[in-house]
Amino acid sequence: MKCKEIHFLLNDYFEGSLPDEDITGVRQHLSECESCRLKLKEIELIHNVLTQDSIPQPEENFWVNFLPELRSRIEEKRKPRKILVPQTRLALGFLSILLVAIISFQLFRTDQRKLAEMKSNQNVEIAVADPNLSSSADQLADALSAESTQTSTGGVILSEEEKRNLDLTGTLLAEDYLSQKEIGSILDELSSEELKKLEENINQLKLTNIL
Amino acid sequence: MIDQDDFQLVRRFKEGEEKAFNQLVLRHQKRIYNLIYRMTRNREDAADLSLEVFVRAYKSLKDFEERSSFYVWIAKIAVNLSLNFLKREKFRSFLSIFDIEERTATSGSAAESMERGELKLAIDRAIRSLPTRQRTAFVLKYYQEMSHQEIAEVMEITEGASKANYFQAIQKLQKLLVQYRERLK
Repeated sequence: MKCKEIHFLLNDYFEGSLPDEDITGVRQHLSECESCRLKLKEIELIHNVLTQDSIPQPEENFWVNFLPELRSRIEEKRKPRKILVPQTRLALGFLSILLVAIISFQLFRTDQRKLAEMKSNQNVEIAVADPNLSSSADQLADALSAESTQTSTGGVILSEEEKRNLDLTGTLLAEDYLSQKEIGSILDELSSEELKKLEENINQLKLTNIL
Repeated sequence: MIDQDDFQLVRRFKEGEEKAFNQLVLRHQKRIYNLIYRMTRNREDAADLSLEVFVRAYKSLKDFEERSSFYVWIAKIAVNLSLNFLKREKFRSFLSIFDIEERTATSGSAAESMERGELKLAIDRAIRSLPTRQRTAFVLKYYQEMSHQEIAEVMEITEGASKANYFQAIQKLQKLLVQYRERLK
């Protein structure tokens, strides 16, 4: 037998649980192999160590109180759990639905606010990305962010002329803007005439009044 | 003989004799406590879980079909409870490592702490470091002196797997404890 096979059997050999047919082979190997004899010595030492592992006893009176304590735990588990009356169940169900509705509404509101922020951020990004359009796009971004400010705060009132100018701007951009298309690509598609008109419209806006 | 007596007590309990259950408890409570202590390595947890084992046994004793000895059946409950407990402990240690360390270090009475020498701590650490299957096979074989057939029943594995787990546990403990002995030299 090889050393590896012997190692597998050594513990059982030491514990005296090895079948008779293996004992002769192990003894034969041990008489010839110094390293396996050392391994057996090691096993013996470890077993001596492990047998010294005493068990700490539980607190005093634990065994005396074991049965009464056990019986009280069994009784505790036997007690029927309180079943809720139908009215309470109904009230709890209604409360759960109300809670879900409130949370959903709050989440929806948060989403709307984030969407408005995203829209105004998008305008600023366009202005940075395209230097040729930077001046008009800057103004456009200002106008649109002002628009979102107005919408969100509801505290800014525009004159008729300002509203008209803002509507014209909106006519050009509204559809693609709302469908989240990049405004940079929309401005690229405008003819120089359209772009000029857009710039004029923006210039006519009295932004100081809005801001 | 013990098994036959246990079977008698179980039958009497099934026929409605409550006191027969008490007899079963008194016969096996200490061995179950020892088993759980070897698994959890904590005195208070072992005491609490021992009670819980017999609560579970009481609830499901009517399903005991005498296919194995009563002790193997109840040891299976004890092992499962201990393993669940160890899983929860592991999860808690993720949440708060320091709490667990403190709890381990302070478990047991002051006198016991004095008694617990380096050797005890080395064994503690070595056994705790074993994977749960190896630890279970080791505890059942080494300290509970169960046969591999019984261990296989408790752990719901084959006898071969029980032998392999036990062998690996012994090998690991040897390595860990030899290191400890060499440090002491």
